[in-house]
Amino acid sequence: MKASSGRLSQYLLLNSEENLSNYLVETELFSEASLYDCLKKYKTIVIKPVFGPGETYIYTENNMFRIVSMMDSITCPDKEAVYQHLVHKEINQKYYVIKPIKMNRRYSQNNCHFFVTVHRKSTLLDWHLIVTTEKNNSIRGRGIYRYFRQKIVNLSLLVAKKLGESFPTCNTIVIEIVYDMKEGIWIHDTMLHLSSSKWSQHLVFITNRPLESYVPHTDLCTKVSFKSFLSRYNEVIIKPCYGQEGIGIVQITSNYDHSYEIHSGIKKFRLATLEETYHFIEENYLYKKDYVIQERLPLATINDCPIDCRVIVQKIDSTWRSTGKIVKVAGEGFFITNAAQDLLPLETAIQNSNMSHININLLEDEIDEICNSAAKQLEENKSGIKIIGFDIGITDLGDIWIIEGNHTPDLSMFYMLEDKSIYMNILKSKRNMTPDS
Amino acid sequence: MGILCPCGVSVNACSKNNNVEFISKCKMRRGNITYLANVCVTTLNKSTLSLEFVDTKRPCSNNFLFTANAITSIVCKKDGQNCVVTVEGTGLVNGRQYSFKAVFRDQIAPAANDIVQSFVIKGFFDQNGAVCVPQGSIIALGCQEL
Repeated sequence: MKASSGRLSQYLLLNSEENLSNYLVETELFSEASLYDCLKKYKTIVIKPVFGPGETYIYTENNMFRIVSMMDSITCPDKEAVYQHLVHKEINQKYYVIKPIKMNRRYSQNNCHFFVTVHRKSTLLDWHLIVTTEKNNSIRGRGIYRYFRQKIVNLSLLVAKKLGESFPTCNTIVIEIVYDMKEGIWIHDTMLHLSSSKWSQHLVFITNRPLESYVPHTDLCTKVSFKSFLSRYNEVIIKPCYGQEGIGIVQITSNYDHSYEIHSGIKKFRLATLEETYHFIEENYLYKKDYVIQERLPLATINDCPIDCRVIVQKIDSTWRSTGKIVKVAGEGFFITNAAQDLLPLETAIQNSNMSHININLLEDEIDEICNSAAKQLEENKSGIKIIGFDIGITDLGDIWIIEGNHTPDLSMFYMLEDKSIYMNILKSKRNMTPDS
Repeated sequence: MGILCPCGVSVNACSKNNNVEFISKCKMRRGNITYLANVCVTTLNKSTLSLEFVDTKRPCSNNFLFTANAITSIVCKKDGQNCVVTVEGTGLVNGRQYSFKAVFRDQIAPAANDIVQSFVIKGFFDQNGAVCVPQGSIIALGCQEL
C-alpha cells in the first residue's frame, strides 16, 4: 500500500512522534477486518478516503448500525451488512482509512471543532499559526478553544514541524482539532496544502504586510465560515483549493427577500433558506473537494460582463518585471473570466469599461508594483519559479485586488491580440530569464 | 486557443449519400451534407454554423445552404469520455428564417467515428437520424455542463 502524502502516511509519521501520539486518533487502512475490529471497540467511527474530503459515519445504536453520509442514511442489522453497504454504495476511491470519533455527540455543545492552519514562509523558516476556522458552531466550544488555545497551538506547530520535515515543499498544513470536555484534545485529521493550493497562496500573501490589503478576505469553507461570510458580505464565492479553468467555482448571493441565489457557470437558481443553501453546497461541492470561501469582488465591467487583468511577471536579471497585461472579459452570464468572450489590451479595456475615469498610467504602475512584490513572495514560498501569471481584479473605483497567481500561465492569449508586441516582449523576456541557479 | 471555451464545438464534416427528409415537401431525398460550425457558449454572437445539402440525384431542385444568423443556446453533456453538444438558434435558407437544433457528438476513441446525432431545421429539413462523420471532424472545444 502506498499512500505517500495521504492520511495514513501522515498518521504514521505523526504517531512516531512521542509528544503527539497521545493526541492522535487511531487510524487504520479500511478493510473488512479493520471495520469489524473498530465496530467492536467504538460506538462511533468514520471512514474517509486516503486523499481528499468526504466522510461516512457509522453509529452503533441498540445493537444496530446507522450509516450516515452525504448520500445516504440507513440502518443495518449487522456488521456484515455495514461492510457490504460501504463497499457497494459509499466507497468510490481505491483506499480509505477508518478511525473512531473522539467526540461525545450527546454533549455536542461542549465540543470545540476547529481547523487550525499553520504556515511557514519557506522551508527554512519556522511555522506559525495563521488562522483557526470553526467547523461547527458552538458557543461553549469557542470558550473552550480560548481556554486551551496555547495547548492547541503548540500541538499544531508540533504537527507541522513533523510533517514539514517529510514534506519540505509543503508550507501550509491544516490540522483538524477536536476538544471534547470528556475526551480531551484530539488531532482528527491533517491536510497538506502545496504551493498550488489557493489556500496556501492566500496565506503567502496575507503574511506579507504590504500585500495583505490587496487580497480578498478568504477562509476555508465550513458551515460556520459560509454563514459568517454571507452575513458579512451578502455575495461570496467558493473555489476548490486545487482547481483550474474556473471549474467548481460558485457564487452565492444573499437576497433581500432572505432567499439565496446560487450561480455556477451560466446557471442560476434560488434556494429558500440558508440551511438549504449550505446543504446544497456541501452535497455538490464541499463533499468532493476542499474549498475556500471568499468575499466577492465588485469587478469592473464591460457591457455588464466582469473583467480582470492577466499580468505576466518574469524574473529577468534577478529582478521580477511585469512584461505583459491583457484584460479578459467574462462571457455573457458568467461571473468568472476563465470563460472569456474577449481579450483586450488594458488601455482599450479601461476605455470601454465602467471605470473609464481611471488614470491608466497610475493604475498600471500600481499593478506592476503589486505584482512584482507578490512574485517575490511566491518565489520565497516556491523556489525556482521564473514566470507567474497573476489574475488581477480591478473594481469600478480602480481598487486593485490579487485574485491568484499561476505558475504556468497560458501565453497564447497574448498572441490573440491584434498587436503582437506584448506577446513578442514576453517571449523575448523568456529567453533572457534568469537561468536556474 | 488562449480563451478557454467551457462549452463549444468546432465542426468541419462531410457525409455522403444520406437519406434526408424535406419536411415542407414530405419527401425523402438522397445527397451529401457538409457541416461547418465554430460555436462557443461565451461568444454566442460570434459563433457560426452552416449546413449545405447537395442532392445527388436531382441537384437543381433540392440543393440548399442553411446559415445560422443567431445562435441562442449551446449545451454540453458529458457521456463517459465523449461529449454531446446541442446547438439551437435560427438561420436562413434562401432568405427565409427557420429555427434549428443540431446535436453533435465528439467521440474520444480514435477508432470511433464522430456523429451528428441530429440536425433539424424546423418546418423545412431533417437529416433523419444520426450521421457518422470521420473521427476528428467534430471537436468539442470544452464540455463543461454549465
